[in-house]
Amino acid sequence: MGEEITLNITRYNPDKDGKYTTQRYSIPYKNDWSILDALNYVKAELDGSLTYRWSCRMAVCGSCGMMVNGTPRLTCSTYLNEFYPKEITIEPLANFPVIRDLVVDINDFMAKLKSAKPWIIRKNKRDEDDTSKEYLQTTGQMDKYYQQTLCINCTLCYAACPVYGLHPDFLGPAVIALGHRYNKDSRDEGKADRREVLASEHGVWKCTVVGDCTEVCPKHVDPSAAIQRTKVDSAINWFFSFLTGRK
Amino acid sequence: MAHSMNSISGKTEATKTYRRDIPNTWWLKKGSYFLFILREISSVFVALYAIFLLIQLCALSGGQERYESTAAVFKSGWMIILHVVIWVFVMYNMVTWFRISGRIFGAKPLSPVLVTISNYIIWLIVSIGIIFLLLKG
Ligand code: SF4
Ligand code: FES
Repeated sequence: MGEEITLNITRYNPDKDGKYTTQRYSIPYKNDWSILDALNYVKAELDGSLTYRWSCRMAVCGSCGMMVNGTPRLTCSTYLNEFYPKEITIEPLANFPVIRDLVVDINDFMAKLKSAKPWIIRKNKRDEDDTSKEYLQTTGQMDKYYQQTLCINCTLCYAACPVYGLHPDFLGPAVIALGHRYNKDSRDEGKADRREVLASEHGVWKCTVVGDCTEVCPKHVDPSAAIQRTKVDSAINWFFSFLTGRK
Repeated sequence: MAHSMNSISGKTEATKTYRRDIPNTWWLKKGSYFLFILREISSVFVALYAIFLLIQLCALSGGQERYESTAAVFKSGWMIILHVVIWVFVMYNMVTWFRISGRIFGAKPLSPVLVTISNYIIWLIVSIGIIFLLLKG
């Protein structure tokens, strides 16, 4: 018998007993296995009913986020050797309703994402359809928003944010970071369109700068900084509209 | 409730989701949450210090006698202890906001470390200036 490691995995099946419980599994320990590999082993060898999301296995698709020992992590890029020989607790991402086992409902996030209009908006709507037009950009202009383009919508930042947990109306870190990304894009003209969402009572001003969103982000998007910069932009805009009387 | 598409029937079905409660002690779960709450509490002490300062300024404008009786209260043991506590919280508040301001204003071509260090340098210069003025006076 080789080395083993114990996984404590959350189970929830609304169609069966509807109980939210934890199940223990002992599996072989392999130094190069990710948590996702371990879950795949459980599903293939021990319990085919275990349900979880994954796709790319290379930290790109953003679908395998779970709470690993209480911290939101991408399970495809978190390895057993970080925890061995201690037990590992794997739970669904915090702050989201659980659909089944380790799968959470992110519809709320998807709706909020759309509301922040994360795409290039032009004042002249014909520009948006005209594919023949070129919009040149310097590297300096691209630097202003590049960091936020790295977001993979994994929602780990939502699971880390106590404000989102306590006030589910809050737009949340990634949505604001992506709104900010387009606001900072020199090709975009939709700042005013996004303002009513980003600067609303459920937008940036709900953030109390806990900062954990930035700590857990696997792509170093730094959503916390994006939120604070959006606050500065929105305060400056308010100040000038106050002075000039324009809306 | 979440809605999912049944791949066989093609119909949308409602699924009963499980919502986890957040306990009132959520901020004790992680060091970073606890430090955040400490920062929030520290602002109460910052406000308290501002009130104390205003009380002293009012006393000063009320003549020598009134100022001296107010100063006597501020020199009492419990007031000194309270001021030490206030000082600790104000320092903590300052350190955390200096770090956060680095994050806010530290975008390229600046960097968060550069902004935070500049804050400390300005703070040091202003503090030395005030100490110098007080000693001179
Ligand atoms: S900001 Fe980071 S943690 Fe949040 S969804 Fe994007 S990649 Fe994930
Ligand atoms: S499986 Fe795609 S990010 Fe982990």
